[in-house]
Amino acid sequence: MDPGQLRLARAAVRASTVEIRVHQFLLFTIFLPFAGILLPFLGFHIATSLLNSNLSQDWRSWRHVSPSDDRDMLSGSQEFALAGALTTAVLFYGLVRYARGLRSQRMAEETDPRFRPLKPHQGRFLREREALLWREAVQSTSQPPEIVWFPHVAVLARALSSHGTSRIAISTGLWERLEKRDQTAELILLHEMAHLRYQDPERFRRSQAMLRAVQRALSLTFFSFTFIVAFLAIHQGVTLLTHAPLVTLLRQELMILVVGLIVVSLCPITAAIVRRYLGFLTSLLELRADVKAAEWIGGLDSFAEILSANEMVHKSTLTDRSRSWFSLNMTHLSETERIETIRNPTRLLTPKTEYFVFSLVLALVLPFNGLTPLFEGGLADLVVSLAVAVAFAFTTTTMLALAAAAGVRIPAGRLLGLAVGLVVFTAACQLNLYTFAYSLMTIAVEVGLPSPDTPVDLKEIAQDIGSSFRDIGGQLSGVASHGWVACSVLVTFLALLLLVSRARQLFTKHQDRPIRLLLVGLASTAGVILDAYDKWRTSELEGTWLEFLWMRWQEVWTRLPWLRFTLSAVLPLAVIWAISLAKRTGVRASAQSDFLERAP
Amino acid sequence: MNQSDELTLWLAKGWLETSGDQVQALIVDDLGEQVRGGTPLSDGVVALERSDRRAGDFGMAIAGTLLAPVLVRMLKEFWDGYLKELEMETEGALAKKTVELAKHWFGANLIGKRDSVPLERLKQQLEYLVAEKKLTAVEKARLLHALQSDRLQEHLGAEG
Repeated sequence: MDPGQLRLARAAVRASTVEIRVHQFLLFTIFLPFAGILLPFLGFHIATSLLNSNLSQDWRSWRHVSPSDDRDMLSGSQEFALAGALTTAVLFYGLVRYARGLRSQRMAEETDPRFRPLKPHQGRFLREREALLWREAVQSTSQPPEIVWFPHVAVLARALSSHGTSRIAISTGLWERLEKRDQTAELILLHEMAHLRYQDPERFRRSQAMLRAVQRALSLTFFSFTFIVAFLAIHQGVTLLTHAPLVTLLRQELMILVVGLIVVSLCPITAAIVRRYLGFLTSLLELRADVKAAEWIGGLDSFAEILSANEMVHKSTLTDRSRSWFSLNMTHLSETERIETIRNPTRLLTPKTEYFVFSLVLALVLPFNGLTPLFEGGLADLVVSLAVAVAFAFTTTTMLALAAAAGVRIPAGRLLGLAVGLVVFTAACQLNLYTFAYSLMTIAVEVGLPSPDTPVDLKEIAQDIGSSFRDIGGQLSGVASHGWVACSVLVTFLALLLLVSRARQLFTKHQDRPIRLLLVGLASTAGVILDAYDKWRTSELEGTWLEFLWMRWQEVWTRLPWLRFTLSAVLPLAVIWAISLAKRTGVRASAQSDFLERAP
Repeated sequence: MNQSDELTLWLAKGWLETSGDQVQALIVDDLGEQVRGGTPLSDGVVALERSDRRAGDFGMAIAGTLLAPVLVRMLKEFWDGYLKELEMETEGALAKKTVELAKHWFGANLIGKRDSVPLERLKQQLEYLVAEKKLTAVEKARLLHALQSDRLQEHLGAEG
């Protein structure tokens, strides 16, 4: 076994683990609370306000209450409490669905009729081979996982584990190949063993149950929103039917439907964000199992060679690749992409940008719902895009440090690509697509409630739509800063180059210093937050230390525009320098004290 | 289980076991259990090739040996055709006869009659499957060898 290959594989496993943990952390701290708590609360709060105001007005006119008494049925705090109670109900429903989903998945796996146990006289060679791989490759002293089989012509396998019992389900296609001592088949078995080693089956079950629970909670929210839109449409219809012309009625109904449709889009967009993020995470877990299997089989090259030499492995088409880039049902990268990734340590040891870009796109689409931008000026939308950018920056800097520690040379081209990625992900947070939703809603209101002086016409509608494009153009040109953004890419690239070189010296002997890695990652996180700060969407933060910091930073990049969007790389570099300096000072001080102690 | 399904699975299992394809024979055995449980044979065969990629799977589409489903489809066609022909010849009398008789008839064709019509038809179908690239030449040779060996006769006799 080539020690270089082995070291590379181990570094790739560590890098994959870091990448997985960062994404998991952000999923649990940002995306799930957003989907399960904040979003329903926003929806219910606005809905209760609307209903309260409409129904109170009806009540007053029905009871002939004096116009001076314009109190609504519920006070502001009561509206808030009602929205909170409804959100808690949705959250509770989601948690119950999650617990039930997890239990039913466990049951389904344990009692899956497709999986047949091996009879005592069956698969003697198979059992022996599995035990050998478990003992020698995985180097585990525990009992090898139980083998169960299912009839299928393709070469398939699945890792299963519950209540401390591990099993590997193999298809008859795989069994037959194992009997023939096929290397691909053994590699597949090792991949499943890697899943068991990292307890991935439980993770997969949890993420499946979580996804279903989030989808159910979001669909409940979706139906509540739809009900409210329908109520408002009917309410308006009943109110206007007797005394307003039909055209007015139709116009107002159209207005309610258009605005309602825009608002309701929030649920599918959020579901898509969570689904894609979980899919991306799943593909990273699969990739880590590949890398671990490669470590056991003798290195990344051996793994890639075995798979690419097998003619029966499907060759990915453009459709397969596009599924990896854009599909919401992603679980694995396509075959050829996996082989390409494993063959290329640079790709393994750096973030899988091409598969993560779609998460950024979905996060940018979020403000299109027109509802979340109303919450604290769009802070929630900004936080979601920031989370994506932070995930990218954190993984980029920490994985580069790990790659440097493993002695892997990251080519300048890849570093430049990552620098572009860092600048694009950070700058993208400042794009606010709410402008499109705002234009559409304005047009809908102009149509529904036309001004008697300036009736709405096509020219005005076109102008409204044009203004939103102009606004996006303005935002893009603000980000481009007269072309200085290209220099920002260059500075970021140089910072990454230096970071890799310094990290090589700092981490080589201390590869497993998680605190140092964490500091590097946190520095890049701080860099992204400071660089992507959007003063329009963070008005609530006025007067805080974050705003103070941003103001100082803005003063710097206004004078030196080539420094804008570079902090995600520059700050971690500064941290690495500081650690090196502290270390060197510490070493020198200790040498001096040694010298003084030894001095006569 | 209808007559042609039972005969198909009986012959496929015996044939695959004789040719040394034990794992493929296991698939046929499993199909038999499914059919006895109420799953139509065609559905069972389709499920053998249905792809359903989930998290935790190896997840690469790697084609395996298609021997069992291909053979089952071929034999199903063979028995459907033969039972129909025999029924016409015997003017419906076969419908009343048991599967045991059909098995006996096939066994009798295997003994000594190397140029019997059913055997020739099976050989032709194997050739056709190779031409269609559903079977490899090696698999065909192995199956032909098994078909012509006395062991198949003994095996089917014991199984029947």
